[in-house]
Amino acid sequence: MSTNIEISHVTKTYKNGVTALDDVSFHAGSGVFGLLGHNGAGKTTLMKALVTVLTPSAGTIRICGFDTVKQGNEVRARIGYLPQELAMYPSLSVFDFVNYMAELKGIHNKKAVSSVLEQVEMLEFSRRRIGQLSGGMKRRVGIAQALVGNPQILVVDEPTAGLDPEERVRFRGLLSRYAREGRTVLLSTHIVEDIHQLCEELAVLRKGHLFYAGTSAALLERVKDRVKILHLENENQLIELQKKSVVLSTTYESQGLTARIMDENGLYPQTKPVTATLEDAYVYCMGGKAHA
Amino acid sequence: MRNMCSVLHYEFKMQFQRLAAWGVLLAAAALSLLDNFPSAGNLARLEFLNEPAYFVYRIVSLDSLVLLFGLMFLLAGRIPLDAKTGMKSLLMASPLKKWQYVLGKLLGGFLYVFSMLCIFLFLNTAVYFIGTPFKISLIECAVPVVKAVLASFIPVSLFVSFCSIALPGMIDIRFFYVLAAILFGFNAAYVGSAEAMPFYLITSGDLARLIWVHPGWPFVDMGSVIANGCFLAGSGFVSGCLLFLKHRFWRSE
Repeated sequence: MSTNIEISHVTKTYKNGVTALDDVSFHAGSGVFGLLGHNGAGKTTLMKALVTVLTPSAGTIRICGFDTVKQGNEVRARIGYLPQELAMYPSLSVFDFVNYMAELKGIHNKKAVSSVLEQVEMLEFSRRRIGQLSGGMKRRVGIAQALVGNPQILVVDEPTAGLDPEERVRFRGLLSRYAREGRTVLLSTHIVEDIHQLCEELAVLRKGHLFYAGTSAALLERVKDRVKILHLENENQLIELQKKSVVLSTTYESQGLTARIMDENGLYPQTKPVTATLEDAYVYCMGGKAHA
Repeated sequence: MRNMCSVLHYEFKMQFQRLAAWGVLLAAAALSLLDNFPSAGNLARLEFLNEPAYFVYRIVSLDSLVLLFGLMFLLAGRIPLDAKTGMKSLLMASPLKKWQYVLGKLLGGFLYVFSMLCIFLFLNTAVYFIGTPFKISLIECAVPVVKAVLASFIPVSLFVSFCSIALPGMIDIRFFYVLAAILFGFNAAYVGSAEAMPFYLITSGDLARLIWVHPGWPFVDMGSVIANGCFLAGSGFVSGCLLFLKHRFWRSE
């Protein structure tokens, strides 16, 4: 498998002294690669460095073999980017906006614009102004401008945030289809379900550090057979439990509550083992014990 | 070059579609016609209103100020808006270069202001031509209009568009609004005289005297005309250059 994205010892310290990324290294081949982390973990900073908007303070990033700092033009010719916050130009029509972005990429072909709008099922709304679109439609226009020109690398930052379930499923299908034929989609999100559905490989960032990089299966392996559910009478018991174990989630019921916990040493014989999910593994990682 | 033309084209298109600007234009046109329409009352009040050149002079030196002030406020948000909406990150991730972005924005704004001024003047002059009780030829109207477009609208559009697009890219937009309001206030409050006019006037400076001069004082101070033109064009040009030279405005290349 060829390596489309290669990140080596990347550090980014802003002028105010905040280190958003600290010695991050991983690589991604073709397919959908997930980037997980809570808000402020450094995902957006890494994305911006990947698309040459930010320059790393140290380390190198190579996209399709080209250095993002020294060969920025080569990199920009090979990427499509959907930023996290993209309000676009509300007065432009859908077609005009995507055509504008296409022209900036050197594509002066209206058929290519129509084709990409068809891919995201927005062709019938191509004359509508962006300001008149729903949130989901705007995200589809956002992805259309990223897809125009069939870039080798697609970098999408929180593309499903704020979308309804139907739009999320549609979006996942779109990204999954695009990642075929040797292309790479780098998907940044804090929605674990999206990663679970789409990515074979992922990286987890935590406070600017790379916490995990590898396959979803390997991450799941870390918590296999250790996720259990435990019935509790009241919240006091939950507070006590949180002091001793990692509580992954809780569900309140008519009588008491059920806690989903990581029982690493078999401390709770009254618990029932359950199948671990990627979300369990992620929450466990964020709890800070997966590396132990 | 093609990328710059794309930015220019869409910048112009987006501006042209703004209803707020058309509202300002219509309001300014209504005000100017109330003031200058060749009605019996206005003809009695304004001694030279029967001269098309005087009519054009008044439209340019007084009434276009309302339109320009509105356009300046509307244009001021163009670059801060790109940063706010995430468009700047998207544009920086494309093969677009800094000079293409800056020049496309500035020239798009220039063409827009120039077009709006021309539409404003043509509209007013057409109403004057149709509504005047005197017999005037088309050429009598056309000559001062051409003079206004060439002598006044080009430097004025350069000043308004370049300053209002470039400066808010470097300073707080509220501070820019205050500066613009002060300058326009000076311009609006200035009462014309036979003497050379201050160089910093936007539309009432001596450039407007190239369109029409008072028969009692038919002299034009060319030094003051040049100073007025240099101030308008020079301020616009310097603002654009400052934005272009600003570090950390664009990705490092």
